[in-house]
Amino acid sequence: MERFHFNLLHKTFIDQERVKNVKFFSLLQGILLLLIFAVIAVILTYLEIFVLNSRLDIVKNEIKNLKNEINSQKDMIILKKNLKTKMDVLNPFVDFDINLTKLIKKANRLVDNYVGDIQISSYSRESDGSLGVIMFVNNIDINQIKKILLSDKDVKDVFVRNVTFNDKENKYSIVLRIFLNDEN
Amino acid sequence: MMKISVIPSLQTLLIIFLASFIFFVFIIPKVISIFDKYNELIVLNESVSYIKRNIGSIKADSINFSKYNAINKAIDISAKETQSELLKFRDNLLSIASRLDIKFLNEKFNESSIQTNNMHDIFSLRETSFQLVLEGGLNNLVNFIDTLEKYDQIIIIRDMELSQSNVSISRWNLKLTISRFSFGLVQKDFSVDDVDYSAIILPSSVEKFLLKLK
Repeated sequence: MERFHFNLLHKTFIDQERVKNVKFFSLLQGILLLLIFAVIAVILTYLEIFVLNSRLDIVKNEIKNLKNEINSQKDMIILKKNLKTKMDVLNPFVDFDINLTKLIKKANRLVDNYVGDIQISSYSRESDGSLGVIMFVNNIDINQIKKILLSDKDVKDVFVRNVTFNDKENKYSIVLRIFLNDEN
Repeated sequence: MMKISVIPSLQTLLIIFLASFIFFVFIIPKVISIFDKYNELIVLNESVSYIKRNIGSIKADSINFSKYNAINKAIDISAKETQSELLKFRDNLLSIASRLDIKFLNEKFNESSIQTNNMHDIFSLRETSFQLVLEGGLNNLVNFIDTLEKYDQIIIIRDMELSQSNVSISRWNLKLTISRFSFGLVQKDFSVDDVDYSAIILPSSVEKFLLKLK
C-alpha cells in the first residue's frame, strides 16, 4: 500500500538547515585539515631537530675526533707520502739495476764447469735487463751450457742469441743472454 | 528551494589561506631540509667509514715507521744535491779505481733535471750521468762494478760493456755509464685529512734497492 510522507515544516526552513549543516561540516573539515597540517609540521620539526640534527651532531663530532686521531698520526702519513713520492720518481731508474756483479759471477761458472775449452771475451748489460756474454768454445754443447747456468736457482733464463763458427780459429762464437730471477 | 552560495565565505577563505601558509611555509621547506640533512648524514657516514678505514691502515702500518724513517734518511743522505757531493763522488770513483789498480782512460759527466708531471712541484730529481772508460784486470773491474752496486748513494749502472783488451789477454776494458740521482727537496705542506693512506703503496723494487744502500 502506498504511503504518503507529510512534511509539515516550511520548505525554506529545511533548506536553511541544510545550508547551515554544510557550512558547519565544511568549517569542521577545514579546521581538521589545519590541525593535520599543524601536526605534520610539528612531527617534521621534531624529526629534524631531535632525530636528524642530533644524529648529524653525533656524526660530525665523531668525524672531528677521527680527524684528531689522524692528525696524531701526521708524522707517519707525511713520512710515507713523501717516501712514496721519492720512490715513484726513482722507480723507473731502479729497474736498470740488474745486479751485474752477480750475473757476471753466474756466467763465470761456465769457465769452471764446462767440459771443454771455453773462453769468455765480453760481458755487457743489455737493454732487456739481461747480461750479454760472448764466449768462444772448441766443442759446442748448448745443452751443457744451459744446464750449468740454469742449475743455479738465481738464474731465471738463458737464451742463445747467436752461434757462429770461425773457420780460421776453429772455434765457435756464442752470444748468450742471461736473466736473473726477479728476487735478485 | 534555497540555493547554496558558491562564493566561499570568509571563514573558508581564512582556512584555505592558513592551510596553504602552513603547507608552503612550514611543511614543504621542512621536507626539503629533512631530505638535505638525510643526504648529508649519508655522506658523513661514508666519511666516517673512510676515515676509520684510513686509521686502521695507519695503525696496521705503524710497526713499519722506523723502517720508513730509515729508508727516507737513506734517500736524503745518499741523494744530497750539492756540487761538493758530486765532486766528492767523482774523487771516490778515482780512489776506488786506483785502489783496485784500474786505469781511468776516459771520463765524462753531465747533469740533467728530471721532472715528472705530478711530482715536480714537490721534488725535483737531478741525474748526473758519468761515462767512464777503464782498463784493468777482469777481477778488479768486476770488483769495481760490485763496489758501485753497493755504493751508499743512489747510483744506477745504466750501461756496461766489459771486454777483453786488444793489447793483452789479461787486460780488460770497461765502458760504464752510471747515473747518480739527487733530490732537490721542495716539500710542500698538505692536509693529512685528504690522504688516502691505504692507497700509498711503496714500490717494492725501490724499497729493496734503497735498503741495499745501507
